[in-house]
Amino acid sequence: MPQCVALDHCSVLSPPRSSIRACHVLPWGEERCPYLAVHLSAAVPVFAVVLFVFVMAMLLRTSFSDPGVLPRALPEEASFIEMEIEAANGSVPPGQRPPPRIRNVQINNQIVKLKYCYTCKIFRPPRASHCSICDNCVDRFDHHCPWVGNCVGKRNYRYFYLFTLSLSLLTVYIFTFDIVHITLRSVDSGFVNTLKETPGSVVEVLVCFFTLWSVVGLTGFHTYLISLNQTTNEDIKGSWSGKNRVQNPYSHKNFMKNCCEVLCGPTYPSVLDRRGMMLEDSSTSCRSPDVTIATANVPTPNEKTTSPLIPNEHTLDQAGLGGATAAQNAPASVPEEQEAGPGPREAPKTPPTPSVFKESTH
Amino acid sequence: MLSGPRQAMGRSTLPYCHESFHNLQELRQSASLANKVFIQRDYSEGTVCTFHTKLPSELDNRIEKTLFEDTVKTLNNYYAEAEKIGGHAYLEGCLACITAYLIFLCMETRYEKVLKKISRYIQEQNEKIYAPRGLLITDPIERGMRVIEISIYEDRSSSGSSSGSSTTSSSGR
Repeated sequence: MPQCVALDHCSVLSPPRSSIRACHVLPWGEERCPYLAVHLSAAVPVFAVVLFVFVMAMLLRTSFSDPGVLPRALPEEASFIEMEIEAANGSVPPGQRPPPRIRNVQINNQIVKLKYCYTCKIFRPPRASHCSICDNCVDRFDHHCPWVGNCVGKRNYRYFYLFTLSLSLLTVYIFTFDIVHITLRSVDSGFVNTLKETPGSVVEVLVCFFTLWSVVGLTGFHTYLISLNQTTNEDIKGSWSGKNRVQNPYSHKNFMKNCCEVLCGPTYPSVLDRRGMMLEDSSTSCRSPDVTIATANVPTPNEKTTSPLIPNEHTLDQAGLGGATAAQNAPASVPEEQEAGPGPREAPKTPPTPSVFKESTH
Repeated sequence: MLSGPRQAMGRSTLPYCHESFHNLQELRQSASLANKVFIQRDYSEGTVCTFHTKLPSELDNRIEKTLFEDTVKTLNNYYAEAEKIGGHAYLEGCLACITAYLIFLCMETRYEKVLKKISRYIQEQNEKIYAPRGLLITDPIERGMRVIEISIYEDRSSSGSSSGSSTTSSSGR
């Protein structure tokens, strides 16, 4: 039950929707806190505030950190890989489809297929996947979460998990103390009077009750995935479901080790150049407001280079559009907030154009 | 959103080339870029950052096999050290979590420290071993940790012949 995946897609610009969920703590603060602080303990609202701040911090960290985007290949690297592929495939008679671009690699006695990404012009590392919303390959791709407005991948999975976990705790906490508050007031002045004095409490209880199921469910699901060292993407595709004796080669077969690796592993650096300028006819420079742990990068001037289009009929088949071909331009890029729409159809081997086309999910 | 590779910390770079010291500058002035070779990642040990140690055919007559293998093995060891999951990584992770990751404003992560070591090592290797042989190694972090790019230079005086297999005409000038 990966709820995040089932929800609507949203553009990158929309604010994290999860902040709406977390903010149901605010009316709680106005009405219930003084009563609970007086009758129970001042620690009750204080802990709620601390937890709320932690939830918001994790949410912002998940939303605004680089999930582990793999930058597109520079033209020389792309050509080098193309040449290797052509050398491996040999000459294909005209009219015949060239074989799929796949590399097989053996990890832990398991054959893993590395697919070629036509947009990024790289062979994707194991566990990486291309996100069509962000239009990037992401390392250890989990899913694209519209609620946080970002992909969840290698670099920000732990923040995402901590966000869902702390949000679950916060929801349970508020739910519990709302019920305690209603009970205490009812003991003092009767249930009906309590409803009249603090109608918000009952509404709050209902909101928490329904939120609990989705958030706690999501946390439970991700705890299960972490214990197996799997990603949501692999779970959905059933990559390691056990069919044909296929097993997860990345799992340490030990709950603690898997958890430690996913949650307490090293903090990977970002390999994106967020401030690089791309000289392109169609797009103007626009800076991303993202904040990451990466140190400041020096913008480099880049020549507009072009590479000959290689016919990729597989793109035609996979995309189902029957014609969108990708042409990659200057190396360093500007993080664009809007997605480029699908470009016009182009025959293969035409002179390269300076615009960039978006492809659908690979 | 389009993405490009990040640049190494604290170094200004020119397209396709890197210059840090005089002898490398001289390399740039007197030689022209002929070809580039890319050493790919080796995924047989999993997702840990490791590169193939096999000497590519284009570099056969340029550099000794043992020197090349030593360089790549040292780089692999550095990356293994950076990505090691052990007590130090846990402590760092827990401390960071408790401080809501604000501690990273003051402190460098272990991975970043190792990346700096790698950067220094590559510079040193370029100066001592690769530049005298007309080669230049690019830090993998500048290529998204996907490949080790080795640029092959030819003397301008003999630039009529290109070495090895040809790449696209967009490289070089």
